[in-house]
Amino acid sequence: MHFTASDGVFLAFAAITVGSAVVVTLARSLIYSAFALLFTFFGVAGLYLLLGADFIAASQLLIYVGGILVLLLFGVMLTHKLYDLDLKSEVTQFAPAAIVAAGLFVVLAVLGFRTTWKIGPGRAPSATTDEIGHLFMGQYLLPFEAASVLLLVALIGAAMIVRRKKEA
Amino acid sequence: MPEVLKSLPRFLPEIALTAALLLVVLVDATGIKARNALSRLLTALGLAAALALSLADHGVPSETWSGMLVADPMGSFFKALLVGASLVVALAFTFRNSAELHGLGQGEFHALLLAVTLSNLLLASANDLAMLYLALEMVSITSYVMVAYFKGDRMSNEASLKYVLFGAVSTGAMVYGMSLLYGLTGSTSLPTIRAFLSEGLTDQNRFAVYLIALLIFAGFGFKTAAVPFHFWCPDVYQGAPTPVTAFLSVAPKAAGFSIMLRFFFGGLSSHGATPWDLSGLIDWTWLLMLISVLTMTVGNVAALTQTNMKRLLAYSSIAHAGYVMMGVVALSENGARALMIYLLAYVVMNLGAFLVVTLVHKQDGTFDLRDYAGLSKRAPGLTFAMAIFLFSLMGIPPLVGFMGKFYVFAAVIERGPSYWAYGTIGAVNAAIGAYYYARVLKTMIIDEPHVEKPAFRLPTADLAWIAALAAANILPLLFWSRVEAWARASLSIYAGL
Repeated sequence: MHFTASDGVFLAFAAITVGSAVVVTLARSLIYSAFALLFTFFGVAGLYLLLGADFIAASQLLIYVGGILVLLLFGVMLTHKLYDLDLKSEVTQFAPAAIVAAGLFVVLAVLGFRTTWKIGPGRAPSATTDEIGHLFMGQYLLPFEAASVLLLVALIGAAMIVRRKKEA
Repeated sequence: MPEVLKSLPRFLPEIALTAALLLVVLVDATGIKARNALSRLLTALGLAAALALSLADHGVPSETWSGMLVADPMGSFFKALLVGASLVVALAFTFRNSAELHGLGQGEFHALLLAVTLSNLLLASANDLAMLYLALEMVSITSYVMVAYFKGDRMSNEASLKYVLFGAVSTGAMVYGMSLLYGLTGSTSLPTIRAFLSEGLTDQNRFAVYLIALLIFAGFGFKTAAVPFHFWCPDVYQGAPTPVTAFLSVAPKAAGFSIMLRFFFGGLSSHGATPWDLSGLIDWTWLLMLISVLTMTVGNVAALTQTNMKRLLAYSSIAHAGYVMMGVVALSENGARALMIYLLAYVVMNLGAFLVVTLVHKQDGTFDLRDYAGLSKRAPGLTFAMAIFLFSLMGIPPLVGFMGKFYVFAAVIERGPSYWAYGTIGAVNAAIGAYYYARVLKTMIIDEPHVEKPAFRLPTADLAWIAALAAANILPLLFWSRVEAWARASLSIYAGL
């Protein structure tokens, strides 16, 4: 097994993702966490791209970085209490948490290395949008439609929760 | 297109629910005076239509929607059960008789109720991991909103947030397990996964499948409130408005069990010589047996010291999840039938108990068991009905709760001596359970009240529903052979052969 260029790219993206995720959890200020999250999302988008999932990579950038994160930043910056909040990120129950995390890591690592995963036929990277569109209107029509009901319900729920006054 | 035309006739209950959901949203948006009554009427009509359509489906078991769902007798049974439970909740638990919901807008509540029901139906007939995950998330997300419906209340908000956090972790674990399963088998379709597992596995891959089964079970366990995925349950049941608690304690739980049955029977085992064979020698039954024992024991022991009725019924519902799982562990036709019968009984007894709790809260404004003292003198009819529900929950003959317990225990015992210890643990648990149900009865009938309270007046509609639910705990025994025949006829699971 030799080291290829794509391995290098993978490692770079993985390092960005994991490194910034560590900052997200450890940062004392919420605003630092939110900005670090930007790089986590970016790294994940890079991993998608490396897997040949161009559409998902683009959606990841557009929706998570362009939408959700910006909303999150607005939320943090417009809310004074949150902005000035000094997060209590002291470590509690270090030993049990470390044991659980290490145990989980070992189990997942063993699982990852020992299992024979199903490897599909390789193919040259090509645009996937067309195929995704056909699948949404064909095989995955029902989940696609069900998701629209879910969005409707989420809207109703959000409106209900934020509306201020009780009404008869 | 031909696939859609083929699938639509088997999809009528879901279409009825979706139509009702959209109409309720539209009616509520018009702002007319009668919108609350109208939305309730539309909800009831939609649910009644869905119930009739679920019962009317007698087609051959087959995949629909390109393998996303299946239409089979088991699916129809669970659809009828789930829609029926929603219908009882929509009609018996009104905004009038719940002190918590009184005066709140009804349109959203009914829209959410219809949406959870629709998601429950999708979950009960899911045949593909993608659909399964989406349906489960739909049930969860809609339930989170329903729990927060009592907006002014801190407990309700806290309960909803806890529910969201636990839900995120458990479904995260589940979807991780699903991704591993896809990585192993190269497919999200349950029949294909089963076929792959049946071809035989290396020891290393078998280890992976055990872990995957556990991870995926986290999602099912969260829905059915099985230990150790139950931590949300008491707080959410206590914080949510009581009608929502009653609904959550039966419908999503039943949907969770239907998908558990489908996944473990239809995905990880195959219909073979000894009714069901384990696919690829993955013996998941001991895993579920362990969880089931933990679930019933933790639920029953924790319920012993509860003084809040909603918390007590929450722990009791955890314990019942443990008994229902015995039907899955048995891995036989009788086990599946026992599970179905148990859930049928559980719906009527648990909804009945919660209706009594709601009415007492409306009258006295309390959920505290100690305030139930002397209720028998003020409301003898209500106390009598509560006695029926509690005896049914205990599993005392001749009530439906007994039949449920009888069938699950029988299904486990008949698997042979290695299962007898398991059956014994279940019996001991039923005895522990009897203690705290009896404690409620003792408080209601024997204990003297601390303060004089005004006479207990019940509107006719509530009285009628209490009577109907109490009757539903007794009358099925009169035509039991039909109930049993219905459950037996609903046994065939589409196995993708």
